[in-house]
Amino acid sequence: METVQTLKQLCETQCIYNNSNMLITLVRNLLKPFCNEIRILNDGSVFGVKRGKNNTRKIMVDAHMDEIGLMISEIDKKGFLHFVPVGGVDLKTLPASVVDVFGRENIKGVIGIKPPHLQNKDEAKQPFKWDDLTIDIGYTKEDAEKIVSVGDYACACGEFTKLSESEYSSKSMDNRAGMCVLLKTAEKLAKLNIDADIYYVFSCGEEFNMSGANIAANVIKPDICITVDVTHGVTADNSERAYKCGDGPSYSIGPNISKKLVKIIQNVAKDENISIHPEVDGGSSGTNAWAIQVCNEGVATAVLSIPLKYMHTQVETLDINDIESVIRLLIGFLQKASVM
Amino acid sequence: MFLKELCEISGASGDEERVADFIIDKIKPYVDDVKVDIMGNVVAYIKGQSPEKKVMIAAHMDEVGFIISFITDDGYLKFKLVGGYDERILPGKRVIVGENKTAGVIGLKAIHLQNKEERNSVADESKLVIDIGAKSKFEAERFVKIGDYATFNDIYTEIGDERILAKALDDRIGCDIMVFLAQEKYFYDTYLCFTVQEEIGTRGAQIVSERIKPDIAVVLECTICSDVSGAPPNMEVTTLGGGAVLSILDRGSYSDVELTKKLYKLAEDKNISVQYKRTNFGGNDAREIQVAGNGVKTAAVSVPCRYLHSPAGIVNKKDYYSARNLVSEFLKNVREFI
Repeated sequence: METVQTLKQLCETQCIYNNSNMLITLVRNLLKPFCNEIRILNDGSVFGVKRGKNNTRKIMVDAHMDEIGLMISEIDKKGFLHFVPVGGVDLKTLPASVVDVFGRENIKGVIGIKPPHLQNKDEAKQPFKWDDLTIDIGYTKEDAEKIVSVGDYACACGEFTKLSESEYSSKSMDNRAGMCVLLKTAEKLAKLNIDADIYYVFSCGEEFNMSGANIAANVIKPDICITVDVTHGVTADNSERAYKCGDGPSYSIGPNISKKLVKIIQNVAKDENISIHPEVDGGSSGTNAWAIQVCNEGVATAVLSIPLKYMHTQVETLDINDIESVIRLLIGFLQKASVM
Repeated sequence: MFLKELCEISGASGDEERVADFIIDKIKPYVDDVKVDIMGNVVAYIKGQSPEKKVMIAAHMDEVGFIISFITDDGYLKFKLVGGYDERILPGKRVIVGENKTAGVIGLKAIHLQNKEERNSVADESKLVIDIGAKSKFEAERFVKIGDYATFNDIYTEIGDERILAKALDDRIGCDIMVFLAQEKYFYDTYLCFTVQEEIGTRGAQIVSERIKPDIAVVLECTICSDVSGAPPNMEVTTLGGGAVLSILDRGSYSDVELTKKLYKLAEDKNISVQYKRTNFGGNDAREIQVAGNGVKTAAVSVPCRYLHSPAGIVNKKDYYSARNLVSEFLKNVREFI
């Protein structure tokens, strides 16, 4: 399957926190042909292992599977659903959005707002609060309760859309982009003979507390772990702490990252003519690497990130060429890291 | 019912041609004449048995949207709003731009990058842009140009109990009802007027009603329905599923009392669900039609719609049929009204 098709399929399947049944099934089916064994951990995280020809060491490649979303907190007397955020949801993107609600069936709803006619003059200038918004699914309370329960998840719809040329927009590119990299890497590596055992980990809970990555690293006990996630893309209103989409991925540098692994990444990029850009953090890299680095007796960690515009909105946008660049870089990295 | 197709057409105020073409194609086999005037209003003429009186039914073809005002060096599109709507709904929405139907998104700076003040305030509308995935002005200009129109791009779908979720229900619902009405003949000369530019000040209706000078007019619209969570009963305005809505007055017009009362009675007699609009807010083409010529007996029959002027409005199918049946009965019994 082409990279874009894989990415689209991933984006169209939901997984909030650890509510991952549909996505686990998809990942397992896509990963199976390329791994010796697939395992699902108790928290819902999934990993597949491709044993190396000399099992020199264990290298974990990690991409988080979960996305931000909403959780239903109440069904009110008019049948409207009140909700709370799961992960860093930006409230500003919710008004007038169509949402998917994952109850006993999957249904659609709207987060509607008061018509302008009924607002007083200053209201339009005020930001919304979480209590102001509800999901309208078009049912009475009695009928709503047959389909939806408190605790069910929901997420804003963001149909996978091709923009011009190489840019694509969808909800949950954070971090289906990373997952896509892992799946395509697994596919390509299956044909090569690598020395180390490679563990492809799709972890839950990153948007919450990085619990999945923690659990996986404790189970696998890798020597090295490279995390693939997203970073901020340059937008019309911001070019600081951001990277241009289509210009190649960023790689992290700082106390959370192994200096040795950074050198490997830089060398591979040079050899393969891949454009990469340093992303510096004085503490946490803001990814699963922060949790993984201190697992067991320690793990050498590295991070590669795909530039993503409008992160945590329904229209997260990236350039497909950046995903292809990370795949090439990752394969080169895994080959070198197997024998260093 | 062509509601799905109608809602999915892009037609912001000033850019209604595609909506007009679709409608003309559907009504031409039935009506006696179709004229398109200088602003783009479509008027279908149905010859009656008697030319003594003129009856006008009106619905507007346009929807709220955007117009591209500038293309930045990096290929982003700056825009102005077409029509009035709450600007707080813009971040995170998908749009369609121009004749090429180029897909675009209105993004928002990631929450991680917002400072405390930005997190707690409304997104600055002047900083929002449409992103079509172009990396430069040159690339963008291969697909779009300044002056192109854009509209929201969201799915038409059925949800819940007999409800429809779509963009531009206001007022493709009115247009769809009129396409249905075009299939019959009526006693008096009847003009089905598909107007333009209602959303920016009921502009199309002004010239249409001046030209026709009807004796009686019914405006078919979508109207405020706010029977939502947290709204006290006196702020609900109408009830979804409560039937066709008869306006009493709004910000621009007052419905003819006798006509409205008669319509209400007609609904009751024919067992059609009907309700009154319980507010004085809003406005529609009735504002212009009422004052045309020597004055026109005007009423508005509407379908309640939650979340007007957004990419995701909700109507109840039952209300659509109630409005359609009511106006159909009105036309069939029009001699009792004038």
